[in-house]
Amino acid sequence: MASVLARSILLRQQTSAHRIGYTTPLKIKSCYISYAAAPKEKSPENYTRYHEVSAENWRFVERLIPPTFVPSYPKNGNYSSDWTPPADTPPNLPYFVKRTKNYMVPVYLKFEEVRNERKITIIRHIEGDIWVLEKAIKSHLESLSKRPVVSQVHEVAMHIKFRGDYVNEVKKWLLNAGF
Amino acid sequence: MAVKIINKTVTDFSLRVTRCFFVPTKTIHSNVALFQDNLDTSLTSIEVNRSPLPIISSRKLAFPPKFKVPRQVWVSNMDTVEEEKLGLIDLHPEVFADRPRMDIIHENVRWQQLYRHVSYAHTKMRYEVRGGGRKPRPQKGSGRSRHGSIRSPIWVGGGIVHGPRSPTSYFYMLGFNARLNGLRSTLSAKLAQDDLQVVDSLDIPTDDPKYLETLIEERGWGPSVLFVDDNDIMPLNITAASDGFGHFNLMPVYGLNVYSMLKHSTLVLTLAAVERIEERILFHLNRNDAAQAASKYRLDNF
Amino acid sequence: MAGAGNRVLAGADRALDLLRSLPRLSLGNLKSNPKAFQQSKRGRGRYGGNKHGAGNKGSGQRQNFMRLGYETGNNPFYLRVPKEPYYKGHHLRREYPPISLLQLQTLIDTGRLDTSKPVDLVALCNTKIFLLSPIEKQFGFQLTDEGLDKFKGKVNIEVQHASEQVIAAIERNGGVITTAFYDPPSLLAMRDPIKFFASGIPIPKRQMPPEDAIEYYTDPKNRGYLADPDLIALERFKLAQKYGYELPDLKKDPELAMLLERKDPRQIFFGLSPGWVINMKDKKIFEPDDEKLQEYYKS
Repeated sequence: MASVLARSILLRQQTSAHRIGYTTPLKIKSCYISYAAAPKEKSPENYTRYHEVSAENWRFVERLIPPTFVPSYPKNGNYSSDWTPPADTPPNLPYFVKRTKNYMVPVYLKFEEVRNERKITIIRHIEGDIWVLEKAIKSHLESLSKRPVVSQVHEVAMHIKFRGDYVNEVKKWLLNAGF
Repeated sequence: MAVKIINKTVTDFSLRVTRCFFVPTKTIHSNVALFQDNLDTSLTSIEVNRSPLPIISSRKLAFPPKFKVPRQVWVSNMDTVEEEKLGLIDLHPEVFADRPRMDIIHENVRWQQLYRHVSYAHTKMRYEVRGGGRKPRPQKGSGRSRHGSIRSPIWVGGGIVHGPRSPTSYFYMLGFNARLNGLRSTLSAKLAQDDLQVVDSLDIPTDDPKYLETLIEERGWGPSVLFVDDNDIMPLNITAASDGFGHFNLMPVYGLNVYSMLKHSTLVLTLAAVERIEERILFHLNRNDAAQAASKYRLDNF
Repeated sequence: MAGAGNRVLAGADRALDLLRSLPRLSLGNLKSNPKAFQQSKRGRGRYGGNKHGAGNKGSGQRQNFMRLGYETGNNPFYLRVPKEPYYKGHHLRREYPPISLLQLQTLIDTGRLDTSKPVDLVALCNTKIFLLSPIEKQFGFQLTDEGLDKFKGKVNIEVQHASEQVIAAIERNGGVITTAFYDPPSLLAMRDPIKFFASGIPIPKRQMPPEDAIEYYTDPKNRGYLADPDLIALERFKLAQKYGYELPDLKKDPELAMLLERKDPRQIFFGLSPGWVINMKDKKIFEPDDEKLQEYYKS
């Protein structure tokens, strides 16, 4: 009895599906998040045929490949932005401030929460005698601001912190010194 | 049986025998000691034909440093027990003379110990402890305190609140730059403490474990030594010779890590390994997409 | 090496020198900075960690607060004031992250951008300094006017949005600017082309801009990619008159071919047609033969 009922229901579904043009009675449209996630066609004759495009066009693909390393800057001397390259030979000083891998001066402004938020100028990538560098920059900043500047030297991590926003002044000083 | 195999030159067959069938190697050691006199004379009589020294005298550094001075190390040989200095090479100071940041090295070691650690410590909560469904006594009239279950956390033998639950994963990912700087710091510290040796290759003339042991003792390396080569298919002789020792280990460059470097007293790098390590670390220090590489680790990144 | 004369043992060298006289660094004697891995302890304050910061007794401890905004029967504040829908339709708006002219000039000065080839969104993303996130409704970059007077580069640039003075700054130097629209699937392909090619998906066909953006991209004043080229030539002249600079003659320019390079409105990579599949490993490009596909990818 049950099987007869089931067959009649299936028949009814099939006939109604034929009427509205579907081949299978229960078809749910599925969407896939990407081409890679979608099921692959197994038989190759269902894929389109293809041909190879001339190899001349490969130069356009090569344009799209990013460089592996940070490219070196042109040494033509025409730099109209604020950026200037470091001196070719390092200045004859006991310390050195290395540019970052993007050829920028490693001076940053940092906001530190010590009781209240305060601005800290931090110089990184220091090599050599860090104490001499700190003394030199500190005296320069004190002569500019006409008041004592608080500083902190981290000899292990090799960076110097100054309390207050002196980023532009320190950058300028380092550029003048040839770093 | 074991001694006979050791005195022979290694063929593919004998290596297979030593690697697969003689797993407990302590017996081999004790037997070797009996024949020590014989072995020593045979070891010292090895002669090597070599072109006049120094064979290696210079090395060009990629990304030459502007201020830091390159470190120099001797390149020694492995084909005789006595050390011969084959030449002097420069090492990049960004890789081998960086700040030895102990905190970063510690971070790396801690991470290597924890990321694969799973804690199986487990305690039962009140609903997991057997019994306790019945009210132990009426709410009122008994003259004693009010309780609803004998497995309540305030009862002895009751459930544990906020106890350890198993399994607990301790996996976390250390930041990219911390991992990179960990390698730089450890290599620099090893070199500074004379625990980093450079050899031309890991080729030794015999597969005799005693040869390796005497060589290491003669040169003052060790007690534990980590040999690092660029290739992961190591020379046959050193594979067979170091196989019986738990404290002489071979490792390809791609497996080099902070924990293993600190676990072994001496780190022995081949010239190819030095080239490869420098190339990889300098690549990461100067790569174009550094910001992308250092972005936060996500499990679904793949 | 300069500076070697008056060099003292300092910095990393000093630390490494100190290590020489110390015991061998090993797993046993390694130690981090003090308090680096210190866990915060349980609260053992006034109430012995009992009250969980909620005070004693009453609605505070039981945390049976009134619902947010309820003023015990008053007409509440959030209903008293009329609606001000600042963020209405925010999820539909397109975002164009800014790149200033000063940043563009710095990229040129530091060699990050090759101006001998047209600069488009792919070139900007390949510097790896600007990251675009199409999934967060970012539809490309806009060029802003910071560093307007310092900008000296001669570029053929294609951005998604630019103001009038930015267009003037670029054209004054003999450069060319186009504003172009890309739909999100195209942007996903452009932000990392090599990763996209490796997925084996054909290069998508660029879709037309949505209704509210058509006006912008068909306007010659904005140098839109759908605008009439003759009208753009006229607008270039007009803008030069307005800002008072002499428009450099493109026809006499040695880099004329580069400056005239444009994409098709349906194209997303220079020189590569939609529908092509790039094989990076064998260095080959394939095109489908199927007529329906060719009809679809045709512009």
